[in-house]
Amino acid sequence: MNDPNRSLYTVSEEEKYCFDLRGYLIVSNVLCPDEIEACNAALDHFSDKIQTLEAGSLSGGSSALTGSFGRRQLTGMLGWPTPYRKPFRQLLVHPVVVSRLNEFSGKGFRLDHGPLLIKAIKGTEGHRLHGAGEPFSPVVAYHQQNSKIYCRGITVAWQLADCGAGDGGFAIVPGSHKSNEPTPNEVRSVEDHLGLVEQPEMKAGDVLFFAETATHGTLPWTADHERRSLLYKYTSRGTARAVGKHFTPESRHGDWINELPREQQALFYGPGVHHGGQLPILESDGETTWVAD
Amino acid sequence: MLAHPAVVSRLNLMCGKGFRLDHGPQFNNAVKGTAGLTLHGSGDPHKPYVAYHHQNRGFHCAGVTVTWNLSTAPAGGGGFACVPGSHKSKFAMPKEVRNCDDDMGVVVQPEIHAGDILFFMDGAQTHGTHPWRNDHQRRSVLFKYASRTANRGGSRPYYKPETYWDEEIVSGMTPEERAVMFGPASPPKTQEVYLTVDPDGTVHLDN
Repeated sequence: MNDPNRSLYTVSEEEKYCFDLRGYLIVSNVLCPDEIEACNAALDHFSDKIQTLEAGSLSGGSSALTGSFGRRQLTGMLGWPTPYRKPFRQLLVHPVVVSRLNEFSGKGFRLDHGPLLIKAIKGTEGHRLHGAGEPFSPVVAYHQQNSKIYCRGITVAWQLADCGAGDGGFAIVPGSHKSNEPTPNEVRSVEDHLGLVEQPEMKAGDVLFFAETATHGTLPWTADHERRSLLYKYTSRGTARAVGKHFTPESRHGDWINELPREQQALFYGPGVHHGGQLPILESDGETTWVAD
Repeated sequence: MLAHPAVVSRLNLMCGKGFRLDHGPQFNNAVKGTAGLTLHGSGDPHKPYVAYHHQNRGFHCAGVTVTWNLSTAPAGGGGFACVPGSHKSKFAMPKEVRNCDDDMGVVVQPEIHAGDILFFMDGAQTHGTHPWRNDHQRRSVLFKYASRTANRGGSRPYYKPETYWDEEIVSGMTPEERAVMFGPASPPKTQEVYLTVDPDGTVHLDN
Protein backbone atom coordinates (compact mmCIF):
# COMPACT_ATOMS: atom_id res chain seq x y z
CA MET A 1 0.00 0.00 0.00
CA ASN A 2 3.01 2.28 0.08
CA ASP A 3 3.72 1.87 -3.63
CA PRO A 4 4.64 5.38 -4.83
CA ASN A 5 3.22 4.55 -8.25
CA ARG A 6 -0.18 3.67 -6.89
CA SER A 7 -2.80 6.26 -7.70
CA LEU A 8 -4.04 8.03 -4.63
CA TYR A 9 -7.46 8.32 -6.25
CA THR A 10 -8.23 4.67 -6.82
CA VAL A 11 -9.01 2.04 -4.25
CA SER A 12 -6.67 -0.93 -4.46
CA GLU A 13 -7.61 -4.52 -3.76
CA GLU A 14 -5.23 -4.35 -0.83
CA GLU A 15 -7.10 -1.41 0.67
CA LYS A 16 -10.42 -3.24 0.32
CA TYR A 17 -8.91 -6.30 1.97
CA CYS A 18 -7.53 -4.21 4.82
CA PHE A 19 -10.74 -2.30 5.46
CA ASP A 20 -12.89 -5.42 5.33
CA LEU A 21 -10.50 -7.28 7.63
CA ARG A 22 -9.81 -4.65 10.27
CA GLY A 23 -12.64 -2.15 10.01
CA TYR A 24 -10.31 0.76 9.40
CA LEU A 25 -7.90 2.08 6.78
CA ILE A 26 -5.24 4.80 6.83
CA VAL A 27 -4.29 6.54 3.60
CA SER A 28 -1.00 8.31 4.13
CA ASN A 29 0.35 11.62 2.88
CA VAL A 30 -2.90 12.95 1.47
CA LEU A 31 -2.55 16.59 2.60
CA CYS A 32 0.58 18.62 1.95
CA PRO A 33 1.98 20.95 4.64
CA ASP A 34 0.28 24.01 3.09
CA GLU A 35 -3.12 22.28 3.18
CA ILE A 36 -2.61 21.24 6.78
CA GLU A 37 -1.61 24.78 7.66
CA ALA A 38 -4.67 26.23 5.92
CA CYS A 39 -6.95 24.01 8.01
CA ASN A 40 -5.15 24.79 11.25
CA ALA A 41 -5.10 28.52 10.59
CA ALA A 42 -8.84 28.58 9.95
CA LEU A 43 -9.47 26.56 13.10
CA ASP A 44 -7.25 28.86 15.13
CA HIS A 45 -9.21 31.85 13.84
CA PHE A 46 -12.31 30.49 15.58
CA SER A 47 -10.56 29.24 18.70
CA ASP A 48 -12.90 31.32 20.84
CA LYS A 49 -15.70 28.96 19.85
CA ILE A 50 -13.96 25.84 21.14
CA GLN A 51 -15.95 23.90 23.68
CA THR A 52 -14.17 22.04 26.47
CA LEU A 53 -15.94 19.00 27.88
CA GLU A 54 -15.89 18.25 31.55
CA ALA A 55 -13.11 15.87 32.58
CA GLY A 56 -14.65 12.47 33.21
CA SER A 57 -17.48 12.90 30.73
CA LEU A 58 -15.98 10.53 28.16
CA SER A 59 -13.72 8.19 30.12
CA GLY A 60 -16.70 6.51 31.74
CA GLY A 61 -14.99 5.98 35.07
CA SER A 62 -12.17 3.92 33.55
CA SER A 63 -8.83 4.03 35.33
CA ALA A 64 -7.08 3.41 32.01
CA LEU A 65 -8.81 6.28 30.26
CA THR A 66 -8.88 8.92 32.98
CA GLY A 67 -7.19 12.28 32.49
CA SER A 68 -6.84 15.73 33.98
CA PHE A 69 -8.65 17.52 31.18
CA GLY A 70 -11.74 17.03 29.11
CA ARG A 71 -11.75 16.83 25.33
CA ARG A 72 -11.89 20.07 23.38
CA GLN A 73 -14.06 20.27 20.28
CA LEU A 74 -15.31 22.61 17.62
CA THR A 75 -18.08 22.41 14.98
CA GLY A 76 -19.70 24.59 12.32
CA MET A 77 -16.83 24.81 9.82
CA LEU A 78 -18.90 24.28 6.70
CA GLY A 79 -21.00 27.33 7.53
CA TRP A 80 -18.13 29.71 8.39
CA PRO A 81 -17.72 32.79 6.23
CA THR A 82 -15.31 32.63 3.34
CA PRO A 83 -12.38 32.06 3.19
CA TYR A 84 -12.41 30.10 6.43
CA ARG A 85 -14.92 27.45 5.29
CA LYS A 86 -13.08 26.69 2.06
CA PRO A 87 -10.58 24.05 3.22
CA PHE A 88 -13.28 22.13 5.08
CA ARG A 89 -15.61 22.12 2.09
CA GLN A 90 -12.72 20.86 -0.02
CA LEU A 91 -12.10 18.02 2.42
CA LEU A 92 -15.82 17.17 2.30
CA VAL A 93 -15.48 15.80 -1.25
CA HIS A 94 -11.75 15.25 -1.47
CA PRO A 95 -11.00 12.71 -4.24
CA VAL A 96 -9.34 10.37 -1.76
CA VAL A 97 -12.57 10.41 0.26
CA VAL A 98 -15.00 10.14 -2.66
CA SER A 99 -13.17 7.23 -4.27
CA ARG A 100 -13.10 5.26 -1.05
CA LEU A 101 -16.60 6.04 0.15
CA ASN A 102 -18.02 5.14 -3.25
CA GLU A 103 -16.37 1.78 -2.67
CA PHE A 104 -17.11 1.28 1.02
CA SER A 105 -20.56 2.89 1.37
CA GLY A 106 -21.84 2.98 -2.19
CA LYS A 107 -22.40 5.82 -4.60
CA GLY A 108 -24.78 8.42 -3.26
CA PHE A 109 -23.16 8.38 0.20
CA ARG A 110 -23.96 11.45 2.27
CA LEU A 111 -22.60 13.58 5.09
CA ASP A 112 -24.74 12.74 8.10
CA HIS A 113 -23.19 15.14 10.61
CA GLY A 114 -20.00 17.02 11.30
CA PRO A 115 -17.34 18.00 10.74
CA LEU A 116 -16.13 17.87 14.32
CA LEU A 117 -12.65 18.97 15.38
CA ILE A 118 -11.28 16.96 18.28
CA LYS A 119 -8.45 18.64 20.16
CA ALA A 120 -6.46 17.33 23.09
CA ILE A 121 -3.59 18.64 25.16
CA LYS A 122 -1.27 16.48 27.21
CA GLY A 123 -3.30 14.89 29.99
CA THR A 124 -6.64 14.90 28.19
CA GLU A 125 -8.80 11.91 29.08
CA GLY A 126 -9.64 9.12 26.71
CA HIS A 127 -13.06 8.12 25.41
CA ARG A 128 -14.59 4.82 26.46
CA LEU A 129 -14.68 2.43 23.52
CA HIS A 130 -18.06 2.22 21.84
CA GLY A 131 -19.61 0.47 18.87
CA ALA A 132 -19.47 -3.21 17.99
CA GLY A 133 -20.91 -5.80 15.67
CA GLU A 134 -23.02 -7.08 18.57
CA PRO A 135 -25.57 -5.85 19.47
CA PHE A 136 -26.39 -5.27 15.82
CA SER A 137 -26.84 -1.59 15.04
CA PRO A 138 -28.72 -1.16 11.77
CA VAL A 139 -27.81 2.49 11.45
CA VAL A 140 -24.07 1.83 11.10
CA ALA A 141 -24.04 -1.84 10.16
CA TYR A 142 -21.29 -3.41 8.07
CA HIS A 143 -22.07 -5.97 5.38
CA GLN A 144 -20.13 -7.57 2.56
CA GLN A 145 -21.76 -9.52 -0.24
CA ASN A 146 -20.57 -10.69 -3.64
CA SER A 147 -17.38 -8.62 -3.67
CA LYS A 148 -19.10 -5.46 -2.55
CA ILE A 149 -18.77 -3.66 0.76
CA TYR A 150 -21.80 -1.97 2.32
CA CYS A 151 -20.71 0.11 5.27
CA ARG A 152 -23.69 2.17 6.42
CA GLY A 153 -21.80 4.40 8.83
CA ILE A 154 -18.23 5.46 8.17
CA THR A 155 -16.14 8.22 9.72
CA VAL A 156 -13.37 10.01 7.87
CA ALA A 157 -10.82 11.57 10.23
CA TRP A 158 -8.25 14.00 8.83
CA GLN A 159 -5.12 14.17 10.96
CA LEU A 160 -3.87 17.73 11.37
CA ALA A 161 -1.16 16.69 13.85
CA ASP A 162 1.00 13.61 14.30
CA CYS A 163 -0.18 10.71 16.45
CA GLY A 164 2.92 8.75 17.32
CA ALA A 165 2.98 5.29 18.79
CA GLY A 166 1.93 5.57 22.42
CA ASP A 167 0.74 9.19 22.10
CA GLY A 168 -2.88 8.25 22.58
CA GLY A 169 -5.77 9.35 20.45
CA PHE A 170 -7.77 7.09 18.16
CA ALA A 171 -7.97 3.47 19.28
CA ILE A 172 -9.84 0.52 17.80
CA VAL A 173 -10.41 -3.20 18.16
CA PRO A 174 -9.53 -4.41 14.66
CA GLY A 175 -12.13 -6.75 13.21
CA SER A 176 -14.80 -5.82 15.73
CA HIS A 177 -17.09 -4.48 13.01
CA LYS A 178 -17.89 -8.14 12.33
CA SER A 179 -18.09 -9.38 15.90
CA ASN A 180 -21.15 -11.40 16.92
CA GLU A 181 -20.42 -11.74 20.63
CA PRO A 182 -20.86 -8.92 23.18
CA THR A 183 -17.75 -6.84 23.94
CA PRO A 184 -16.39 -7.42 27.46
CA ASN A 185 -16.62 -4.37 29.69
CA GLU A 186 -12.90 -4.52 30.40
CA VAL A 187 -12.18 -4.14 26.70
CA ARG A 188 -14.49 -1.12 26.41
CA SER A 189 -12.82 0.46 29.45
CA VAL A 190 -9.35 -0.67 28.22
CA GLU A 191 -8.61 -1.71 31.80
CA ASP A 192 -7.98 -5.27 30.62
CA HIS A 193 -8.24 -5.23 26.87
CA LEU A 194 -6.82 -8.70 26.18
CA GLY A 195 -4.30 -7.20 23.78
CA LEU A 196 -7.13 -6.38 21.39
CA VAL A 197 -7.00 -2.58 21.40
CA GLU A 198 -4.70 -0.82 18.95
CA GLN A 199 -3.72 2.82 18.70
CA PRO A 200 -2.59 3.26 15.08
CA GLU A 201 0.30 5.59 14.38
CA MET A 202 -0.58 8.43 12.01
CA LYS A 203 1.13 11.53 10.62
CA ALA A 204 -0.30 14.96 9.97
CA GLY A 205 -1.80 14.81 6.48
CA ASP A 206 -2.97 11.21 6.78
CA VAL A 207 -6.65 10.38 6.52
CA LEU A 208 -8.28 7.62 8.56
CA PHE A 209 -11.42 5.76 7.50
CA PHE A 210 -13.17 3.63 10.09
CA ALA A 211 -16.43 1.71 10.24
CA GLU A 212 -18.59 3.27 12.93
CA THR A 213 -19.76 -0.15 13.98
CA ALA A 214 -16.20 -1.14 14.90
CA THR A 215 -15.37 -0.86 18.60
CA HIS A 216 -13.44 2.38 18.82
CA GLY A 217 -12.64 5.29 21.07
CA THR A 218 -9.70 7.29 22.32
CA LEU A 219 -6.71 6.66 24.60
CA PRO A 220 -5.55 9.50 26.87
CA TRP A 221 -3.33 12.00 25.08
CA THR A 222 0.25 11.85 26.32
CA ALA A 223 2.18 13.78 23.66
CA ASP A 224 3.60 17.23 24.30
CA HIS A 225 2.01 18.64 21.17
CA GLU A 226 -1.71 19.13 20.68
CA ARG A 227 -3.83 16.42 19.06
CA ARG A 228 -5.96 17.67 16.17
CA SER A 229 -8.27 15.30 14.33
CA LEU A 230 -11.10 16.49 12.09
CA LEU A 231 -13.99 14.06 11.78
CA TYR A 232 -16.60 13.88 9.03
CA LYS A 233 -19.45 11.44 9.70
CA TYR A 234 -20.79 9.89 6.51
CA THR A 235 -23.52 7.32 5.90
CA SER A 236 -24.78 5.37 2.94
CA ARG A 237 -27.56 6.93 0.88
CA GLY A 238 -30.63 5.66 2.72
CA THR A 239 -29.27 5.73 6.26
CA ALA A 240 -29.88 8.40 8.89
CA ARG A 241 -28.13 8.93 12.20
CA ALA A 242 -28.81 12.66 12.71
CA VAL A 243 -32.42 13.79 12.32
CA GLY A 244 -32.10 16.94 10.21
CA LYS A 245 -34.34 19.97 10.39
CA HIS A 246 -37.62 18.21 9.63
CA PHE A 247 -37.95 15.56 12.31
CA THR A 248 -41.23 16.15 14.10
CA PRO A 249 -44.53 15.08 12.52
CA GLU A 250 -45.74 18.66 12.38
CA SER A 251 -42.64 19.91 10.59
CA ARG A 252 -42.96 17.11 8.03
CA HIS A 253 -46.70 17.02 7.46
CA GLY A 254 -48.32 20.17 8.81
CA ASP A 255 -50.73 21.08 11.59
CA TRP A 256 -53.35 18.45 10.77
CA ILE A 257 -51.11 15.77 12.23
CA ASN A 258 -51.76 17.16 15.71
CA GLU A 259 -55.34 15.89 15.44
CA LEU A 260 -54.13 12.31 15.49
CA PRO A 261 -53.77 10.38 18.72
CA ARG A 262 -50.23 10.17 20.10
CA GLU A 263 -49.88 6.55 19.05
CA GLN A 264 -50.45 7.44 15.40
CA GLN A 265 -48.36 10.61 15.54
CA ALA A 266 -45.44 8.51 16.73
CA LEU A 267 -45.16 6.92 13.29
CA PHE A 268 -44.72 10.22 11.47
CA TYR A 269 -41.40 11.26 12.96
CA GLY A 270 -38.52 11.45 10.53
CA PRO A 271 -35.62 9.00 10.44
CA GLY A 272 -32.56 9.11 12.68
CA VAL A 273 -31.39 8.25 16.18
CA HIS A 274 -29.83 11.52 17.33
CA HIS A 275 -33.19 12.88 18.53
CA GLY A 276 -32.31 13.62 22.14
CA GLY A 277 -35.21 11.59 23.47
CA GLN A 278 -37.86 13.41 21.41
CA LEU A 279 -39.19 10.22 19.84
CA PRO A 280 -42.26 8.54 21.39
CA ILE A 281 -41.82 4.77 21.44
CA LEU A 282 -44.80 2.53 20.75
CA GLU A 283 -45.55 -0.58 22.72
CA SER A 284 -48.21 -3.20 22.07
CA ASP A 285 -49.39 -6.42 23.65
CA GLY A 286 -51.20 -7.42 20.49
CA GLU A 287 -54.50 -6.02 21.72
CA THR A 288 -53.65 -2.44 22.65
CA THR A 289 -51.09 0.07 21.45
CA TRP A 290 -49.69 2.74 23.72
CA VAL A 291 -46.83 5.18 23.96
CA ALA A 292 -44.19 4.04 26.44
CA ASP A 293 -43.49 6.30 29.41
CA MET B 1 -54.70 0.56 10.92
CA LEU B 2 -51.62 2.79 11.17
CA ALA B 3 -50.80 1.83 14.76
CA HIS B 4 -53.02 -1.23 15.09
CA PRO B 5 -51.80 -3.43 17.94
CA ALA B 6 -51.42 -6.40 15.58
CA VAL B 7 -49.08 -4.25 13.48
CA VAL B 8 -47.15 -2.57 16.28
CA SER B 9 -46.46 -5.80 18.16
CA ARG B 10 -45.03 -7.40 15.04
CA LEU B 11 -43.10 -4.46 13.65
CA ASN B 12 -41.50 -3.87 17.05
CA LEU B 13 -40.14 -7.40 16.60
CA MET B 14 -39.35 -7.26 12.89
CA CYS B 15 -38.00 -3.70 12.56
CA GLY B 16 -37.22 -2.73 16.11
CA LYS B 17 -38.90 -0.19 18.34
CA GLY B 18 -39.08 3.28 16.89
CA PHE B 19 -40.08 2.02 13.44
CA ARG B 20 -41.75 4.65 11.27
CA LEU B 21 -44.19 5.02 8.44
CA ASP B 22 -42.00 5.83 5.44
CA HIS B 23 -44.75 6.36 2.86
CA GLY B 24 -48.34 5.45 2.16
CA PRO B 25 -50.96 4.29 2.72
CA GLN B 26 -51.61 3.26 -0.84
CA PHE B 27 -54.80 1.67 -2.13
CA ASN B 28 -54.28 -1.13 -4.66
CA ASN B 29 -57.38 -1.90 -6.68
CA ALA B 30 -57.91 -4.39 -9.53
CA VAL B 31 -60.81 -5.66 -11.62
CA LYS B 32 -60.94 -8.93 -13.53
CA GLY B 33 -58.31 -8.84 -16.29
CA THR B 34 -55.98 -6.36 -14.57
CA ALA B 35 -52.37 -7.11 -15.50
CA GLY B 36 -49.86 -8.32 -12.99
CA LEU B 37 -46.72 -6.50 -11.87
CA THR B 38 -43.22 -7.80 -12.62
CA LEU B 39 -41.58 -9.22 -9.55
CA HIS B 40 -39.08 -6.86 -7.95
CA GLY B 41 -36.82 -6.72 -4.92
CA SER B 42 -34.35 -9.38 -3.76
CA GLY B 43 -31.55 -10.18 -1.39
CA ASP B 44 -29.05 -9.55 -4.17
CA PRO B 45 -28.04 -6.95 -5.06
CA HIS B 46 -27.97 -5.92 -1.42
CA LYS B 47 -29.86 -2.72 -0.63
CA PRO B 48 -29.01 -1.47 2.86
CA TYR B 49 -32.13 0.68 3.18
CA VAL B 50 -34.46 -2.35 2.91
CA ALA B 51 -32.11 -5.18 3.87
CA TYR B 52 -32.88 -8.12 6.13
CA HIS B 53 -30.50 -9.26 8.87
CA HIS B 54 -30.79 -11.73 11.70
CA GLN B 55 -28.33 -12.00 14.56
CA ASN B 56 -28.46 -13.64 17.96
CA ARG B 57 -32.21 -14.27 17.89
CA GLY B 58 -33.02 -10.75 16.73
CA PHE B 59 -34.71 -9.65 13.52
CA HIS B 60 -33.56 -6.51 11.76
CA CYS B 61 -35.79 -5.71 8.80
CA ALA B 62 -35.07 -2.31 7.34
CA GLY B 63 -38.28 -2.22 5.31
CA VAL B 64 -41.63 -3.99 5.87
CA THR B 65 -44.87 -3.40 4.01
CA VAL B 66 -48.11 -4.14 5.81
CA THR B 67 -51.05 -4.92 3.55
CA TRP B 68 -54.62 -4.87 4.84
CA ASN B 69 -56.79 -7.02 2.63
CA LEU B 70 -60.31 -5.73 2.16
CA SER B 71 -61.28 -8.50 -0.24
CA THR B 72 -60.36 -12.15 -0.61
CA ALA B 73 -57.58 -13.34 -2.91
CA PRO B 74 -58.25 -17.04 -3.45
CA ALA B 75 -55.52 -19.44 -4.58
CA GLY B 76 -54.83 -19.02 -8.28
CA GLY B 77 -56.94 -15.88 -8.50
CA GLY B 78 -54.06 -13.46 -8.72
CA GLY B 79 -52.88 -10.62 -6.55
CA PHE B 80 -49.83 -10.59 -4.28
CA ALA B 81 -47.10 -13.03 -5.28
CA CYS B 82 -43.63 -13.56 -3.89
CA VAL B 83 -40.59 -15.81 -3.83
CA PRO B 84 -40.40 -17.20 -0.28
CA GLY B 85 -36.87 -17.04 1.13
CA SER B 86 -35.63 -14.54 -1.44
CA HIS B 87 -34.90 -11.97 1.27
CA LYS B 88 -31.81 -14.05 2.01
CA SER B 89 -30.78 -14.78 -1.55
CA LYS B 90 -27.20 -13.99 -2.55
CA PHE B 91 -27.57 -14.74 -6.23
CA ALA B 92 -29.20 -12.64 -8.93
CA MET B 93 -32.81 -13.51 -9.66
CA PRO B 94 -33.26 -15.12 -13.09
CA LYS B 95 -35.25 -13.01 -15.53
CA GLU B 96 -37.72 -15.81 -16.12
CA VAL B 97 -38.58 -15.82 -12.46
CA ARG B 98 -38.96 -12.05 -12.33
CA ASN B 99 -41.42 -12.03 -15.20
CA CYS B 100 -42.92 -15.41 -14.21
CA ASP B 101 -42.43 -16.83 -17.71
CA ASP B 102 -40.65 -19.82 -16.14
CA ASP B 103 -40.68 -19.43 -12.41
CA MET B 104 -39.21 -22.85 -11.54
CA GLY B 105 -41.99 -23.28 -9.01
CA VAL B 106 -40.47 -20.72 -6.63
CA VAL B 107 -43.19 -18.10 -6.99
CA VAL B 108 -46.12 -18.37 -4.61
CA GLN B 109 -49.42 -16.50 -4.66
CA PRO B 110 -50.68 -16.96 -1.09
CA GLU B 111 -54.39 -17.27 -0.43
CA ILE B 112 -55.51 -14.29 1.64
CA HIS B 113 -58.95 -13.54 3.06
CA ALA B 114 -60.69 -10.22 3.58
CA GLY B 115 -59.63 -9.01 7.03
CA ASP B 116 -56.20 -10.68 6.88
CA ILE B 117 -53.00 -8.67 7.23
CA LEU B 118 -49.92 -9.46 5.18
CA PHE B 119 -46.41 -8.47 6.28
CA PHE B 120 -43.62 -8.74 3.72
CA MET B 121 -40.02 -7.48 3.44
CA ASP B 122 -40.50 -4.97 0.68
CA GLY B 123 -37.31 -4.45 -1.29
CA ALA B 124 -35.46 -7.37 0.24
CA GLN B 125 -37.97 -10.00 -0.81
CA THR B 126 -38.87 -10.64 -4.43
CA HIS B 127 -42.55 -9.82 -4.81
CA GLY B 128 -45.10 -8.51 -7.27
CA THR B 129 -48.58 -9.29 -8.51
CA HIS B 130 -50.21 -12.00 -10.60
CA PRO B 131 -52.99 -10.95 -12.99
CA TRP B 132 -56.35 -10.63 -11.24
CA ARG B 133 -58.76 -13.30 -12.42
CA ASN B 134 -61.56 -13.01 -9.91
CA ASP B 135 -64.99 -11.62 -10.61
CA HIS B 136 -64.81 -9.40 -7.52
CA GLN B 137 -62.38 -6.50 -7.10
CA ARG B 138 -59.02 -6.76 -5.47
CA ARG B 139 -58.88 -4.19 -2.67
CA SER B 140 -55.69 -3.87 -0.60
CA VAL B 141 -54.33 -1.01 1.48
CA LEU B 142 -50.54 -0.90 1.79
CA PHE B 143 -48.61 0.87 4.55
CA LYS B 144 -44.87 1.15 3.89
CA TYR B 145 -42.89 1.04 7.11
CA ALA B 146 -39.15 1.37 7.74
CA SER B 147 -36.93 0.81 10.71
CA ARG B 148 -35.87 3.88 12.68
CA THR B 149 -32.83 4.74 10.59
CA ALA B 150 -33.70 3.34 7.18
CA ASN B 151 -35.20 5.45 4.44
CA ARG B 152 -37.11 4.35 1.44
CA GLY B 153 -38.68 7.03 -0.76
CA GLY B 154 -40.69 8.78 1.92
CA SER B 155 -38.03 11.28 2.97
CA ARG B 156 -37.47 12.76 -0.49
CA PRO B 157 -39.67 15.83 0.19
CA TYR B 158 -37.22 16.85 2.91
CA TYR B 159 -33.93 15.74 1.51
CA LYS B 160 -32.68 18.56 -0.68
CA PRO B 161 -29.67 20.20 1.03
CA GLU B 162 -31.40 23.56 1.35
CA THR B 163 -34.28 21.89 3.18
CA TYR B 164 -32.29 19.45 5.27
CA TRP B 165 -29.52 21.77 6.60
CA ASP B 166 -29.35 25.32 7.93
CA GLU B 167 -28.80 27.80 5.13
CA GLU B 168 -25.26 28.87 6.02
CA ILE B 169 -24.03 25.28 5.92
CA VAL B 170 -24.84 24.72 2.25
CA SER B 171 -24.94 28.26 0.86
CA GLY B 172 -22.49 28.68 -2.02
CA MET B 173 -21.56 24.99 -2.25
CA THR B 174 -20.40 23.58 -5.55
CA PRO B 175 -22.56 20.84 -7.14
CA GLU B 176 -20.02 18.28 -5.96
CA GLU B 177 -20.08 19.51 -2.35
CA ARG B 178 -23.87 19.73 -2.49
CA ALA B 179 -24.09 16.13 -3.72
CA VAL B 180 -23.09 14.76 -0.31
CA MET B 181 -25.39 17.10 1.59
CA PHE B 182 -28.70 15.56 0.52
CA GLY B 183 -30.66 14.04 3.37
CA PRO B 184 -31.33 10.32 3.69
CA ALA B 185 -33.61 8.60 1.17
CA SER B 186 -33.45 5.61 -1.12
CA PRO B 187 -31.34 6.25 -4.21
CA PRO B 188 -33.03 8.69 -6.57
CA LYS B 189 -32.89 8.31 -10.34
CA THR B 190 -31.49 11.82 -10.73
CA GLN B 191 -27.72 12.20 -10.86
CA GLU B 192 -27.26 15.04 -8.41
CA VAL B 193 -26.28 12.78 -5.49
CA TYR B 194 -23.70 10.64 -7.27
CA LEU B 195 -20.01 11.51 -7.51
CA THR B 196 -17.15 9.96 -9.39
CA VAL B 197 -13.39 10.53 -9.43
CA ASP B 198 -11.27 10.71 -12.55
CA PRO B 199 -7.78 9.16 -12.52
CA ASP B 200 -6.26 12.63 -12.16
CA GLY B 201 -8.28 13.22 -9.00
CA THR B 202 -11.02 15.42 -10.45
CA VAL B 203 -14.30 14.91 -8.61
CA HIS B 204 -17.52 15.54 -10.55
CA LEU B 205 -21.14 14.48 -10.70
CA ASP B 206 -21.50 10.99 -12.10
CA ASN B 207 -23.61 11.70 -15.17
